[in-house]
Amino acid sequence: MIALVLKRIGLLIATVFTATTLLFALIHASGDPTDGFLAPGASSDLREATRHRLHLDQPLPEQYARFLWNGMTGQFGDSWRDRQPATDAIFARLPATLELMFCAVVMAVVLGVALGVTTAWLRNTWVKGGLRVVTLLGQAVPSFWLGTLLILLFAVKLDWLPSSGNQGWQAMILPGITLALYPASVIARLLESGLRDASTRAFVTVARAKGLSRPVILLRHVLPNAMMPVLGYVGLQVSFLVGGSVIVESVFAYPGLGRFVLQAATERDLPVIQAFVVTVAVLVVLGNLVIDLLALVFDPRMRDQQEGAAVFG
Amino acid sequence: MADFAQLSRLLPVRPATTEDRTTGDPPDSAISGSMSGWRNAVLLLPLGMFFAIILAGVLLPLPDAGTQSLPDRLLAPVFSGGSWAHPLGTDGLGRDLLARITQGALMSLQVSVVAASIAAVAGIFCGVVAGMFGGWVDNLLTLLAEVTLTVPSVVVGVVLTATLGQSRQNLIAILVLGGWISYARVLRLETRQLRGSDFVLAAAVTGGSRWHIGVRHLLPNLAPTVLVLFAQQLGGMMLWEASLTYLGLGARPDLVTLGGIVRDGQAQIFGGWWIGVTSGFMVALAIVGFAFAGDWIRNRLDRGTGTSLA
Amino acid sequence: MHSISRRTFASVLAAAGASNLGLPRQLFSQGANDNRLDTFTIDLTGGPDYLDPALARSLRDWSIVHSLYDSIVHLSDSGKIVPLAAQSVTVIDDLTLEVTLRDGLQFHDGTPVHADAVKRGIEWVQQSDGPATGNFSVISGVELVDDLTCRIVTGEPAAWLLSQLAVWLVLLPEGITNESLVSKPVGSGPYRFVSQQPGAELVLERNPDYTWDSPKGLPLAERVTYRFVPEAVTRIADLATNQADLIQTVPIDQREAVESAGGQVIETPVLGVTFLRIATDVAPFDDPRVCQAVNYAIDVETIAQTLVSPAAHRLASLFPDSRGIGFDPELQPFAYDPDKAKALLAEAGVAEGTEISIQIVGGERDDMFEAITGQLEDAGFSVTPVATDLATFNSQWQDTSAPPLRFVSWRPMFDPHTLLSLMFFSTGPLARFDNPDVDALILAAAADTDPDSRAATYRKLGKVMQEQPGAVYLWNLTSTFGANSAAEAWSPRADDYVIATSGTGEQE
Repeated sequence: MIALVLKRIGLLIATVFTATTLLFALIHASGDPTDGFLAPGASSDLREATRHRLHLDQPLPEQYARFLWNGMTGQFGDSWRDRQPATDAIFARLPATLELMFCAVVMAVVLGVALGVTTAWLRNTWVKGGLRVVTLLGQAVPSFWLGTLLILLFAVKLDWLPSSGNQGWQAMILPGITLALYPASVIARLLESGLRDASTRAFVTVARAKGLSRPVILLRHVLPNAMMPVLGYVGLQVSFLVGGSVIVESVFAYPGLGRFVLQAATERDLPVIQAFVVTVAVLVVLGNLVIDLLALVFDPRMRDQQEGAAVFG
Repeated sequence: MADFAQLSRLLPVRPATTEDRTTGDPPDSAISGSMSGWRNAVLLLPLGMFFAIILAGVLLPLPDAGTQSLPDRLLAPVFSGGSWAHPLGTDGLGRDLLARITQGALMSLQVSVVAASIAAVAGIFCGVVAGMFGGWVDNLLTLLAEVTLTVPSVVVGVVLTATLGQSRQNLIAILVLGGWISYARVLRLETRQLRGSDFVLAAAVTGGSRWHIGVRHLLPNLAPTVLVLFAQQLGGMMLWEASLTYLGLGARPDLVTLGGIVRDGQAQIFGGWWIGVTSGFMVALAIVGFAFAGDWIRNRLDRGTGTSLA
Repeated sequence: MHSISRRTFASVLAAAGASNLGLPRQLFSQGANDNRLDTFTIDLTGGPDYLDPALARSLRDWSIVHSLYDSIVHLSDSGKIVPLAAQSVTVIDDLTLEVTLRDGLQFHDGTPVHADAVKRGIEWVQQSDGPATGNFSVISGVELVDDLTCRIVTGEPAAWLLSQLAVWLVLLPEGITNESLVSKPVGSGPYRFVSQQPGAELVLERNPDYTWDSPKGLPLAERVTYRFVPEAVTRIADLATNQADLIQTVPIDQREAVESAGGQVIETPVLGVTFLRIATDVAPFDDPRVCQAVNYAIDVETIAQTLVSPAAHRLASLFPDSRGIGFDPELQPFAYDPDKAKALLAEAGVAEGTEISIQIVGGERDDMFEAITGQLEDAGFSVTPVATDLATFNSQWQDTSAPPLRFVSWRPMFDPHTLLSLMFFSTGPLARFDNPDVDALILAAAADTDPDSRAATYRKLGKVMQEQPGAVYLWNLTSTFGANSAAEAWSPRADDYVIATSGTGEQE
């Protein structure tokens, strides 16, 4: 267990190091970063003064060393653009993003599992096929289009939910659904496929021989097996959701990290980008740890052993 | 967004041995290997429709996709009070929508195929190498994958576009960045499993080098998995392209892609709802079509090879 | 001349046509203008990038900055710079402006506004690295005369300075820091700062001491909330569900939707211009005939009317309308004459299919841009559009390998000097244009303190720049707002700032 955590932390450090180095290189390769926030026509004096203030006039290796040191000690400095601390900017928006991500993950899992189990359960070919198509549609609609349609239907036409912003829990529903639909579809397909495979394995035949009913077999024996890949997928959602939330945040005017970082990237605001990458990396590691813990709960091997023991003495 | 990046871990690991599988009950599913070819072919319908619409767009005597006509802007499609002169209506500049969708679909296909191919080659190479050699190569691959997964592709995409400008190549590059991991991870897993299988041991005994083993023996066995993944990615990349275009990371402004039309349609939802609906429908059709095509491939191969790895 | 068109209509039985999605009509609440509203919500197209008045540079920034702060002068509806917090502004001589503040003004923290606030405001801009720092460098010092009077002294004659002061000089209290400006701004404007949720909204409350007869108008609500909503469709949805009372930027094709939802569309031309900047240092644009040809080749009026706004019209020059100095009502814009364009190109020896490129900012797939490109192609060019992000765009103003045509919007145009000196003066930092006549006229106008002769110089400049165009003159910028009944008392400003005040008094 300790070894796992240590290994994960090691990977985290290596990942952050590599990722931020790449971004550092890209940003400096794309020209003078001050163009991102100085007004056009700024005098060369002004430009020089700004470059000096931001240490951009120092040789690149020195800048890189400072950059690494900042990253390791967590002192990301001030945003190049508005001179407010980068960490403040990130943490101001982090709670909203975390709330939305959590909401989306819960929705995705609930919807995905429900769809997946239902599809696996059904016997009727055509209904099954139809459900498969519906499930797949979750992956077939661009999120900005889906979001707009949801707003027009549920906010404007039906007046059930707010059209934008993050006031109150109701405001999370539409953006949550928009974010959740794609992963829900993947989870459903994963689960259905996994259930199908697991149902052909030895212990299922044994369970049937024992006379257990179909629902019991499905839920207590087969489902835990099939949940493994689903869990793995959910663990990966952190970075995916942050990236996907950029669009959802734009459409729903939801104040999260995604849109903010997009702006920072456009403006070549390196301190903010660095702070962001570190934050996401830490979240990813935490997310994976949680998943690993959950996986222990669902570990089919423990279940199998119990069953096998019951049958074979 | 970069979801097929995570597809890797989602593909269920096939049973490594045949003992675990019963030969008794057929799997409890509808559209799967034990079905007749006719039923299986139904899976290809959506993709067929997609290509049929493109064909119609090519063959029908429509105005050129680039011909603007401001007096004719935002005309409704024929099924909503319009005329057959513009079967799907016109967009905000008076360009025929069916012609534009056709052109956009072909462009999106081209981009997706190129991107998926490059992603496949890169991913397969990395995955096989990592699976075959293990050790530090494997760790390096894991690191690369984690880096790609941790940094949201938007950030990379924006910075990349800022450095290199907006172009088709950049769009493809961003798509490849998101797509290679699926292949790498799956191939790595399967390569490691195959490493211990009989025929590989046999090849090693008869003196084949590791490269030789890899190319001659492993790859053909991994082909089915790759094919299915490829089919799925084709659809997924079309979706992703739409999102990238929305964010301004797409191809050059004058290169019309299907995603670009959906983007226009979203902005025109009040004055021209058909723009988004028809192009969105085409995107959905492509994605469903390619996914089902992947299923079809897998079913065909399942049937062919029985219970072995496929 | 002052044209603000305001669409009013009956809110009854707005049966949705087949072309819109049947947005529900909202019933008008009793529009009581005499009483102040409790709350007023404005949807902006995005959040402010800067709350620091010295760094503010977009309409969103200025809308909030000028709600919090007052300057000594501001732009009146008729386009003149008139005193605001100042009682009077007098030109003592070519190099000196005397400013006398109104008596009894207060900052939000209760401290009185004295002349040293002017000095602080100027010095704050000068020591920042904002867009106006270069301009403000012409100010050599501020002499305090008495509690309410000071003199602004410049190093050289600068007739254009007053318009810059209107935008960037705000009255600042003591103890300003970078941090306080963002977390707890204190000014003397109609609204006080309450709170901010970064990226989401910003809340202001009425300044109870703002009771004097301000040309900026009086606050029309107790509490104003600015929300930041980038998507136009979402803004309209907000208006339709009354989550917003006033929304910024309604695209032309979505105006009907606003109306059928029970809102009003308020459209106004703005003192700002759009043009295609032509780089005359590369072929084929080093020949003025070619520059003229591209002006003839594009049907700007139709594009503006159908794709931008009914209030957008083809410009004859860089001077948008009579509210700004230099506008020449006699000067006719280029006509749409594709034959003449082709003839000029042939005359100048430009072959059919000559490749040119045109650069825009960002990924906005604007119809208007594609329409322009299409018409250039019809004229015989082979056009490659290039879209870059803002930072790259701004780094390439003088890059000779960058596309010779670039799409530029410029606002505010309270005074044309800034634009001209930056972009059309041969040694300007953004210029790829070199015309000695133009240079001479720009310099003459900059130093001329007599408004009439200055205007005459600019009119002459307009003519010269049609004979040897440095740009394809497109259309005047416009602002289109959506409003519900709560916004009845509000009307747009000439400077286009979105400030929740009513009764912008007409001065002069």
